[in-house]
Amino acid sequence: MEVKYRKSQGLTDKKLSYCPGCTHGIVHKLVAESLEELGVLGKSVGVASVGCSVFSYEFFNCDMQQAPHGRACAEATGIKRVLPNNVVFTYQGDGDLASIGIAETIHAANRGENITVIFINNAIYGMTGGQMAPTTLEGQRTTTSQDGRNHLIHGNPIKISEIFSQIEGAAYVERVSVYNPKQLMKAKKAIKKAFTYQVEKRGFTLIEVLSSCPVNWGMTPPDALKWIEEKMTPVFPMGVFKDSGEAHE
Amino acid sequence: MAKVLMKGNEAIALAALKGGIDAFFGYPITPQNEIPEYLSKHLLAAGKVFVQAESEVAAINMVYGAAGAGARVMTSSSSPGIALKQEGISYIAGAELPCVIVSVMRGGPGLGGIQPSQADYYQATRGGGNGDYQLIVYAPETIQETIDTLKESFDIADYYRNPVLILVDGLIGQMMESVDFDKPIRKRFIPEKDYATTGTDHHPGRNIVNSHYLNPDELEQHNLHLQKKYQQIKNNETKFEMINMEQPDYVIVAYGTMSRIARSAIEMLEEQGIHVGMIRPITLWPYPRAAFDQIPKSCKGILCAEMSMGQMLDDVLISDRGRHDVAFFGRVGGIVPEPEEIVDAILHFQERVVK
Amino acid sequence: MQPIVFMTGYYGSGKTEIVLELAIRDQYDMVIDLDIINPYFRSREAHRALAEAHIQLISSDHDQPTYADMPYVSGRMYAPFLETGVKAIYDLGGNDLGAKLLRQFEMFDQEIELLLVVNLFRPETSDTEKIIQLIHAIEGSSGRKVTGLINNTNLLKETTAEDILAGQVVLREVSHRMKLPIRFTVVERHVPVEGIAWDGDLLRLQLRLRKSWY
Repeated sequence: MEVKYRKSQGLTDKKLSYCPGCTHGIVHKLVAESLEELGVLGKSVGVASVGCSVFSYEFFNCDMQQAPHGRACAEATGIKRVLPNNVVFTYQGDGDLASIGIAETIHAANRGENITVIFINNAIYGMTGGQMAPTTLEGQRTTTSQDGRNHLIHGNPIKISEIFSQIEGAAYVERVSVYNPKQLMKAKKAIKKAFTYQVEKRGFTLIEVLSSCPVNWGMTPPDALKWIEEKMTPVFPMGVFKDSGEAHE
Repeated sequence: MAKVLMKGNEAIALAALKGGIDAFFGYPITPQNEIPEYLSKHLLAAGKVFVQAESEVAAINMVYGAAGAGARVMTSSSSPGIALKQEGISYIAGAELPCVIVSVMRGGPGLGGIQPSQADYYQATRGGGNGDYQLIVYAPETIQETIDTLKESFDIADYYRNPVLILVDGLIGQMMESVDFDKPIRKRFIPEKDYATTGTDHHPGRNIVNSHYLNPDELEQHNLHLQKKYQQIKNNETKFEMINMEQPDYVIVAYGTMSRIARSAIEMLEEQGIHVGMIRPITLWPYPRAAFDQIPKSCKGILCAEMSMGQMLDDVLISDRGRHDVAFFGRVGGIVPEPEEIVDAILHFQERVVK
Repeated sequence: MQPIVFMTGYYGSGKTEIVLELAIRDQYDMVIDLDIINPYFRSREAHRALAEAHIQLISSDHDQPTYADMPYVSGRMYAPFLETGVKAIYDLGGNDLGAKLLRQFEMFDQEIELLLVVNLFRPETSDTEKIIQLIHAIEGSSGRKVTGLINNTNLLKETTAEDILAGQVVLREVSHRMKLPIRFTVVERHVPVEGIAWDGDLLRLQLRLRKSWY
């Protein structure tokens, strides 16, 4: 029988435990495929963070470390500095990266740590039950912004890709999404490019992926994908924010 | 290398190099800055890793990552900085990774001061991180002992897959002493680091560095496993010194700088015809409880002396199990007492007995 | 010797103890503590001994200068340059890093002494080459020429006269190559010195910052 499709070798056989319609699974697949296609799975070390993706150490088929909340980029720095020829990546949500871990992430970028950060922005705290995230949209209701986020009280959604595009040590920063197949293909390309840059030792790479959380958003999975497109992308425009590689090409 | 004159912090840094350090991650804080300053120069020159992190929190998590990747790693800090590292220390202990942490104590609480102190005994032995974990804690009293301990501590950390904390006060960090760096250390069996996340190309199966066990049965099993290891450490690594313990009138219990002051006090008391012994814990965890069984019944009491308000005192009371009167002498805030003050505390022992 | 002396050297070489001893023995008017490197063992800790000897101490204008690690230096540090006939010793922090404080005095053209304290038992100044390297580093950061050497070779309580003489041999080589006089040989009071030909002025040292119990 002809094999039309097989699961990436970059994923273990462990069943993904994410909710139906959650895009973590898709992004896992894109990361796994990229590592496999680049032939670096055997020298990859991933850092799982705290959030819904904490169990990513069970899903990625490579060596993994599990970091304290927000500290993934510090831990990845430690790994990469002593194993400079390995491929090191973190997989972090918006609470982990953009709130408690923003210092670790910015300084890793500023040192030009040659690591890849996969940043899942779903505008909410999924694991702890739908609290407000630093990326929660104005007016968005969460369990800790029950009347909707109000910038006068809570501040505005933080724009990570824009911030990181200003940092000298960042080699590649792109915001992508996975709300339809076309976007998904673009996301794959971005993630693979980020890892390619790391293999070429070009510096810090960050891919922000606009993602969905249907359960905490209180929407069906199709509605959640539509919400990313209609509500999130105007606030978080997609595109390449920094590409130090252009000069080399 | 013959004898040289070294500043404590500088000696700590050089001892780390002699102990085979691969990587150092730290953040500036007085009074331990000479450690990262020295290592920044010498580690990079040796092609090894030095990173000045953005915070103590980041530094300890870099230690976590590098230790998980199989390197010999160290960080150093002082009291408020060690407080910030507690989260990472708990993770490192939970994930069973080896590393060496140097704590050069200053006065607290809060920002406190920068003068020497021993007020972080609880922080070191009880931990500020969450969960049932222990660090192996050494409290050397001279720069020479600090060097010898530090060189060996990388092996000890590797052997038990557990963080080792070297606890000194600012005075030991800042003072000068003549030292010898080439004293041989005990040879230990060092197991292969088969847990290290070096990539699946380099080992069978996947390696996962983790302290996360959601299933209560599994987490309990993990804790029982840790406890078994801690018991083994208690059996093998408890270290202390007994001084003058033949029929003492009193026994002083003191560690680090305080035990050096007590040594002078003991000589002064001897001249007055008062025979005083000393138990000097070298490991603060595991605590040398058994040493207290050797205090004769005839001893009139135990004086616990610390540069704190009485933290080790808890362990003294636990170890003595009510067999003797226990008194306390302490100075804090960065004040280093004179031997005469301890002499006076022994002369007025009864007034100081802990009720 | 010029009346204004700056004491420099590798850190832990013994600058501060020498500053105190020399100031008290030779009745200097002022000791100016410019150590922005060390948190402990600075000349400001000897404020009582200096006061007893009627020597003015200038450290920081903060009201608690002794125990702070803030690198505040006092504007009064310029006083010896502004008044005539003041004998003053400046205690710099260690290494080229501590010596960079001399840049603050660039606007004055008075001659000064910049004396380098050397202890051969400090591993970073254990031979001629290393000492010369340190001189270059200090001259680079301070913008001033070192004008003399001080032999403070010691292992604290374990020091012997032979140790100090061994230091003298190396310092003579430095002296010859750098055309610098050896100004002082420092000998702690417990070390016997009879019948030995020391280079420069013999300074018998009593440690003031070190406690009796260590």
